[in-house]
Amino acid sequence: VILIVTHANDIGADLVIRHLITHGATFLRLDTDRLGTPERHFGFDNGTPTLRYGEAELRAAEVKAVWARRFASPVVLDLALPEYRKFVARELTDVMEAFLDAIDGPSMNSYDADRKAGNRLYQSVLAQSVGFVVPETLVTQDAEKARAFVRRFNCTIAKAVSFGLISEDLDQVVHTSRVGEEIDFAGLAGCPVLLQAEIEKRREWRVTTVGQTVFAARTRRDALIDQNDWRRSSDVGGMFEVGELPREVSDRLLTLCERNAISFGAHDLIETPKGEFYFLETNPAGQWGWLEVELGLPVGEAVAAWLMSACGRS
Amino acid sequence: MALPAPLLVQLSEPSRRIAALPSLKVGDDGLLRREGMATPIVNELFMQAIEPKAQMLSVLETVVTRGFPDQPDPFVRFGREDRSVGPKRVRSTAAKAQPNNPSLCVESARVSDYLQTIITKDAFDQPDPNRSRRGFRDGP
Repeated sequence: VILIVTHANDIGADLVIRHLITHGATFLRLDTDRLGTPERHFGFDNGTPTLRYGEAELRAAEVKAVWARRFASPVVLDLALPEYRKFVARELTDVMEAFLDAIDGPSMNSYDADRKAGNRLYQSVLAQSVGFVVPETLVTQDAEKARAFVRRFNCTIAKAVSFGLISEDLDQVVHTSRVGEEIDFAGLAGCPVLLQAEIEKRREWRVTTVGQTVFAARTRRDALIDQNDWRRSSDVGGMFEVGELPREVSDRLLTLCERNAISFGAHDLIETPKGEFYFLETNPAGQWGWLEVELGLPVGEAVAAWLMSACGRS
Repeated sequence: MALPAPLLVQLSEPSRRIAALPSLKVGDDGLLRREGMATPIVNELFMQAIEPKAQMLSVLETVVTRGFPDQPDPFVRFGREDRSVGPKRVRSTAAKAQPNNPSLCVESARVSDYLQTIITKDAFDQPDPNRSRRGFRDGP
């Protein structure tokens, strides 16, 4: 069985599932937001991690491949008394992890690989080790050091080390933003900042790798794109086109994935006017659905093929 | 005294608005469908000029919003523990204190409490009690 870990609003999962159906593969869509009920829950029966999911009853040993696409908070947690919620979540987590960790087959990607490969600082070091150039970077809580860094470059950008959602309550997000000396560095007293030398762009690339297959998309020259972060642009869907990445760049990305032990990655690169490629980041479970729908890049089919092949290997 | 807001807060902006998805239901085949529709939503996506296409596409994009942060796995596990630390609570072991040097014994008892395998708000018998590395986050 192929296990697809996702949630009940994830259309991205459907882009893969439709191919599994076409090929007659046996799979289970596990919507994590529906877990934690007598009808749908993980268990552990005398040494055997189990999963009951509606009609399906599975032992971990029966799962031959996993696509760990998304985890979501179970709706049932909202029904627990607030004072017990964290305890319940912890208990659910540990039972689930006992199941997932007991699966022998390949995982796209494993939790541990995801966590490590998703760290922007760790991945920048690794990217350099495979031959990528990365923008000069400083992460610090030292205001003087930060000020000196900003002064050193004509243009400096700041972005989150983790990801840009500042607060659920305030609904504020931070994109990659240009920062000047006028900024108040007092905020470094309790939280670091990631500063980077801004790189002149000819194009930005979003490259998706599935196993050994590379799907490259780049920003269109004629598209209206936010200069600091294309995610801020009004038409993210329409500003990309299919592009052909130079072979050595593709190879570097594949080597990077291998070293990260990830079989899926969505990578952000910058191409400079001189044709150099800078590595920005790898998103080990990043989005790609819009590129498939808008540009026809067959990523979903490749993920399905990887899972079916992994199923045969294990 | 609270610390100043993180530097990046100065650069933050409201989350991009994304129209709510239509109500979806997972079919027996594992594919999502709009309420009352027989055609899976993924098939609708590839059709032209359907009404909710923009909403659906926005879910597949890699924008940073409250609902869909551009993260490898933004909702990895179910939620973070509250890491705020309240006032220290230590179990009293005064009864075992040396009667001749009570202050020393109280300190010793406090230290000792933190070395025991007790379960309190502040002292856990766990390698990662606050589950900062592993733990469910909020979402979706």
